Amino acid sequence: MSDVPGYGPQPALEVHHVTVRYRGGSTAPAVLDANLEVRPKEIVGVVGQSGSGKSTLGMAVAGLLDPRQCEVSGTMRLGDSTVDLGSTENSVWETLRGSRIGYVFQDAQAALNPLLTIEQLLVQPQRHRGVDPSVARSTARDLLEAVEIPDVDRRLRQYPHELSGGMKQRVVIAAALMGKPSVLIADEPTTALDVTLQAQIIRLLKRLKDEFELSIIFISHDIDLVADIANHIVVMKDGIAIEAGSANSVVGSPSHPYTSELIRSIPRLERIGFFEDREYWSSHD
Amino acid sequence: MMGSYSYDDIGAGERLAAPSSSHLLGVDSYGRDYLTRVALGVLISLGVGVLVALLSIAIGAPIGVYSAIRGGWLDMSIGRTLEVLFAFPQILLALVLITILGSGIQTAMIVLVIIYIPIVVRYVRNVALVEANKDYLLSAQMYGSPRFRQCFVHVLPNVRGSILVLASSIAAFAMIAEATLSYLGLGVRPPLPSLGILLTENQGFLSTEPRLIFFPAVVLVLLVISVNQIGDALVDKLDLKRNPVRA
Repeated sequence: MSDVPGYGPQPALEVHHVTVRYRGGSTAPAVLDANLEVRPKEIVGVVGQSGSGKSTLGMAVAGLLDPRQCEVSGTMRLGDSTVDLGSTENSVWETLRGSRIGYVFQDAQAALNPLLTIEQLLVQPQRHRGVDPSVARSTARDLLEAVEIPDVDRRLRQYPHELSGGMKQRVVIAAALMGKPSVLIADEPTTALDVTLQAQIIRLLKRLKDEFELSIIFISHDIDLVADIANHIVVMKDGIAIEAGSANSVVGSPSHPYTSELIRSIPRLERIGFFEDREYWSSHD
Repeated sequence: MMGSYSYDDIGAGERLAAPSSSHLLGVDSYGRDYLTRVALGVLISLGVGVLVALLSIAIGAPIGVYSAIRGGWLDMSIGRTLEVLFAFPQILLALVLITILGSGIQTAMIVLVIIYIPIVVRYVRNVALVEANKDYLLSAQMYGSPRFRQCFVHVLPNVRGSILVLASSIAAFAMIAEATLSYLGLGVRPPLPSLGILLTENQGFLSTEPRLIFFPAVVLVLLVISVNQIGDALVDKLDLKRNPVRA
């Protein structure tokens, strides 16, 4: 990150001074002057509790915020192009979204149109870009294989509600990779899943990062999980990035008291008293 | 039309004859078989209701969906236009149009379609607005789906259940409205029967031959109830298809 001068190659994505205000209602900005930098094949974790502005930041970077509902300012440098987050036309966003930035939505069930088959969901967007139908179909097949979905032919014919939760999340990831983006924003991709599936999806994302040469922004409330997957961590609180640094330094020696709180808030058995009790009994035997 | 009688066959039976085996609902004051007239009346009323519903949905629903998804000045101006239309007294609108176009079944239908379009637009816009904030639409946007496609491939099919309920309500309302217009002499023109026409024609016999009012009135009530029921049943069926787990 910016606190490590001369580190690594040119960033794949740089985000500067992002401020987002929701129109009407509260006057406090959802995101205030946030900066972010992701280098190629690197994962940056954005952590914070609900309402900290981490998802809003992700959506601002993907140009998904509705200008009717919020006011965005800030700039983004994506490879060699610079984008003004506040004033960019939808037509420009259309050239970036999907093909240069992919977005993995939190709730896979909600992110897949229930009335379209997996094949339609993966083929139609490619057709908008003028991809030949047979090429689009084979790309869809390859992507499902890349996200480790077995029995691809059958899955392609199914509707989202016929798939399990983990499977749906894999389809959402496949959809995000469709346009071969260099940056992937994963917005709490594992929150709706149980711990086993969570571990599988994390492993998958790590693998895809190398295979597709992705730079990933991984948004989560779970600092434990983020420490596991990310190279760098940005901690957000009330819309402000209060701490940023390498995963080891942020988790190992947090400089902001809020970060320590977040780390302390991870539930562990010994903190509930289970191990203390055992120690008590073993020492009083 | 029905059996061996025609709806305008004066002298099919003795004037005001009571129901019998040859005239199941009896004969009206012109000597026409009443069953034939009620049956054709049902057909005409139902036809008007269904056509008005189809036309107003076909015109109103795309406008509503596009307005919700497009937003901005277009959404704003459609909203204001609707408010003006809602403020305009409907019966006055009907009278003006009938004066211009002349009374008749087509005019009645045009009037009703014009009255129902703003209701459809507003309703569909609201249900589409709920869809507009769902993740699947954001992801369609994310993957470069053009706005037109977002409206008509993603949003419209997902609100079809609500639109179907609206359509059946409009068909039911339109049948009542047609009966009202015909009753006022502004809709279907005699000797063609509609349920409204039958009520008008025979109101003078309310005390002496109540069956002439009873049959079309009861049939109208049953028709309106059934149309609403059919709408609900269709929605259940469609929802079953969409999410079998709920069944």
